Amino acid sequence: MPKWVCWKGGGSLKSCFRWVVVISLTAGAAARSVASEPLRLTDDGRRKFSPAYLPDGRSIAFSIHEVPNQVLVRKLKRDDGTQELLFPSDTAHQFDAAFSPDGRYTCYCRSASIRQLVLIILDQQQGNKETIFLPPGSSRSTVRSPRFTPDSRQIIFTLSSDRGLQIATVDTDGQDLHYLTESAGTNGWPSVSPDGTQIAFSSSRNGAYDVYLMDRDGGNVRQLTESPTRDIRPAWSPDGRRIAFMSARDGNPEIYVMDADGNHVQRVTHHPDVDDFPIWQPDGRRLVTVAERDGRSDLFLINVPE
Amino acid sequence: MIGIGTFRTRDCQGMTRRAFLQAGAALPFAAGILPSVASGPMPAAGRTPVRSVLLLWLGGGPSHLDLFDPKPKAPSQFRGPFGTLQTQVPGAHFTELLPQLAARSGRFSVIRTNINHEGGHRPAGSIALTGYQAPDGGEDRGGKPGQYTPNFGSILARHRGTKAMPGFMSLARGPIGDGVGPLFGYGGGKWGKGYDPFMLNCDRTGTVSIPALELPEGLSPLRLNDRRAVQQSLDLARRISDGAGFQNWDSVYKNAWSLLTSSGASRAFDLTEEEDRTRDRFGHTSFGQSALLGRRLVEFGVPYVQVNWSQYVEVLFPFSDYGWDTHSDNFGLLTDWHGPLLDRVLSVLLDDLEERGLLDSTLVLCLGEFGRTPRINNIGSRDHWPHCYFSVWAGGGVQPGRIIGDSDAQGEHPLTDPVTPAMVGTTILELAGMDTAARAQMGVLEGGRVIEELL
Repeated sequence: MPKWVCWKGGGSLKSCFRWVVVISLTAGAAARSVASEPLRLTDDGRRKFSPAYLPDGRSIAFSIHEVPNQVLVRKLKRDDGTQELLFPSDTAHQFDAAFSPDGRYTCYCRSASIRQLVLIILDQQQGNKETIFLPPGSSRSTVRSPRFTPDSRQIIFTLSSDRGLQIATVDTDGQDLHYLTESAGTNGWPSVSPDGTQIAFSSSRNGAYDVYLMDRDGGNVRQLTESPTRDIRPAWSPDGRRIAFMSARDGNPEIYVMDADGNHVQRVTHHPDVDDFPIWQPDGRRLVTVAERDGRSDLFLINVPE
Repeated sequence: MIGIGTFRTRDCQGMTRRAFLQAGAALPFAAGILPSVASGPMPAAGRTPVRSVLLLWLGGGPSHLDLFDPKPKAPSQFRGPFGTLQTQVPGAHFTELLPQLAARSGRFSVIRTNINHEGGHRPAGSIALTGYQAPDGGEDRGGKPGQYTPNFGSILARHRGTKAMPGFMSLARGPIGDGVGPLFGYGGGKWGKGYDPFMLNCDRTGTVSIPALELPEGLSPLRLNDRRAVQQSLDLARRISDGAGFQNWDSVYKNAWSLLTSSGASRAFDLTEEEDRTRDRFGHTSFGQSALLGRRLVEFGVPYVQVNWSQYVEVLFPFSDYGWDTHSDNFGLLTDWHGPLLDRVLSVLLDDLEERGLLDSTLVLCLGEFGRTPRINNIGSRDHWPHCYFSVWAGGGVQPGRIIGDSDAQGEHPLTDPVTPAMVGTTILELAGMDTAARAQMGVLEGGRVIEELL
C-alpha cells in the first residue's frame, strides 16, 4: 500500500440540493422529505449509475465509483438507509446489476480483461453458481444494461460485438444468444414492459438517440420520440402505462415521462445540473434517479406528476 | 493538514526527510538547482508573454467527431449518435455533449486540423508533447527514451529558470502513459530526469499527494527521524543518480525540503483554501479538482502546468478515472462520463480564470495525442486516428471565437493546412516568451512554425 505525503482537502458536505427545503443529511439515514420535494437517498457524493430495485422492492442496487479506478455495486436498504457491497467476494470491476423478478437470478457486468466486459449470472437456487456470458466476436466486445424479462427466464442487454451495438438476449444459463436489433446506428438501454410483450430502447438509426419500441421478438419497431438530442435510458412504469427517460432536448440532461405510446411527454426535473438514470419505485408513483448537485453525484427519489 | 501514510501531523517537522530526499532525486525542478537560460518571461514578436501555460491533457485520444467536429450529415457508419449544438461561432457546431462549452465558444478557439505522425499512444503522446519524431520509431519500435527532446513544459521551465515553485508541474497519479509504460516524452528527455515535471496527484476529495514521496516499504514513520536511515538513503540515491544536475545532494535535499515546507507551496497545494462553491463548480472528481489545483498553481506562478485526465490512456469501465482510449463502448462512455466531465471542467476553468483576471495571462490548451476513427468500428466504437483531430486554445495571446481549419465531410483528413505537434509546441513557447532565438539557443523546435491563425 503506498504511503504518500498528502494534503488533505477537507471540504464540508454542504446541504446543497437547491430544490429541497429540508433534508436530513445524516449519514446513511433514511431521510424524510418535505411534501413532494425530492428525497436524497445517499450523501457521499461519489459517482453513481445504473440503479435497480431488488425484488424485495425495499432495496436499491447501484454502481458506484468506490475508490479511484474501482467501480463496484452497492445495495442501499431503504428501510434503514444502510449500505453494503452486493458482491463483496468479487474483486473485479462490477456494475449494471439486475435482478430477476422471482428473486432467483442476479446478473451484472464485469470488466474481464483490458477492455472486454462480460455478463455474470448468479443462480441463487444453486448456491449463487456463476455463469459467465462472454460476448462473441472480439476481445473488446462488451455487455451493458442487462434486464430480466418478467418471467425471469431471459436477460436482454446491449451487446457490442461484431455486429455493432445491438440489443440481444440470452437465457439465464447464458446460452441461446439472439439479436433483437440489427440496425444501422447504435442501439442500447433496453427496458422490458411489465407484461413482457414489448421492449423500449434507444437507437441512433435515424440520427441522434431516440426512444423506440419493439415487440419481444424484435419485430414491429416504432419510434416513440423524435428529438434533436439524445433520449436515452427508457424505463417502463410498473403498471406499463408510462415510460420515463432521460433527454437533453432542453439543453441539459433531465428526466421526462411519457405515455407508453409516446404521447404526453412531461418534463419531471428542472435543474441546471444533471438528472439521469431514472427507474420506477415499485409503487409507480416516484422515480429513483442519479442526480449531480454541486459537483456531487447521489441517488434521489422524485415524485412523478400524474 | 499534512500526512504520511496512515498518520497525520500538523507540520512536516521531522517526518519526511527521507521522503523529501526521494523527491529531490526525482524532481529537481522542485529544488530549483538546474541551470536556466533566461530568468523570466521575455516578449516574443512584440507580444506580452503569458505568465503560465495550463494544458489539459486528454490522454487516450478523444473522438473529434463526437465532441468538437461533428459530422451530422455523414453516413451512419461515421456520424455517431449525438445531436449537434450551434455555438457562438456562426455556422460552427459542437455535439450535444458539450452544451456548456458551446455556450462559451466565444471565449476560445478550436483547431480542427491537428495531425500526429504516429498511431500508437506512447509514440504519438511523446510527439504531441515534444514535437519530436524519434528516428527509431519511439516507444513502440524499441526506441530509447534518452534521445527525445524535452517536453514543452520542461523547455519553458528551463527558460524561466529558478523560482520558488517548480517550473513544470504535472498532475496525475504518476508519469503518464499506457499499460506498457510512461511516454518517453513526458518529461526532460535528453536533458535528463532533472527536467521531468514535478508530479502531484489530486483525488476527487481534493487530497493532494506527491507520488514520488512514496515511502519505501519497511520504513516506518518513526524511522524517518533516524538520521542514519536518511544518510543511507542519501548514499543510495547518490549512487543511482544519473549525474546531470545531481552533484550536490545536500543541496537537492535542502531545496526539496524548502519547497515542500514553504508556506507558498503548502498553500498552493491546499484546496481547502478555496470556497466550497468553487470546489463544487469544478465538480468532485479527480479531473475536476485537479483542474482547480492547476488553476491554483497558475496563481502561484508555476509557468507550465499539465492537468492530466488520467495517468493511463486505457479505459476499462464507465465512470472511472481512466483515459480516452475508447476502443469499445465509445458512445456509452462519452455519454455517461467523458463528455459531460470535459464540458463541465473546461467550462468552469475558463470561467474561473476569467473571473480572477488570470485568463489573459494564462494560455489554456486542451488536446490529446490524436482523435478517433471517423468510421465506426465493427463493435460500434472508434479506434485511433492521428490523421485529423482537435485542440482547444484559450487565454493569453489567443484570439477567441475562431474555428481554425476544416476537416473533410467525414472528419478523416484536413481540408486546410494541417497543424503538427511541432507547430503546437512552437506556438506554446512563442506565446510564453520563447522566440526563435531562445529556442535555437536551447536547440529545441528550431524551424518550428507558429499557428498564426490563432493569434
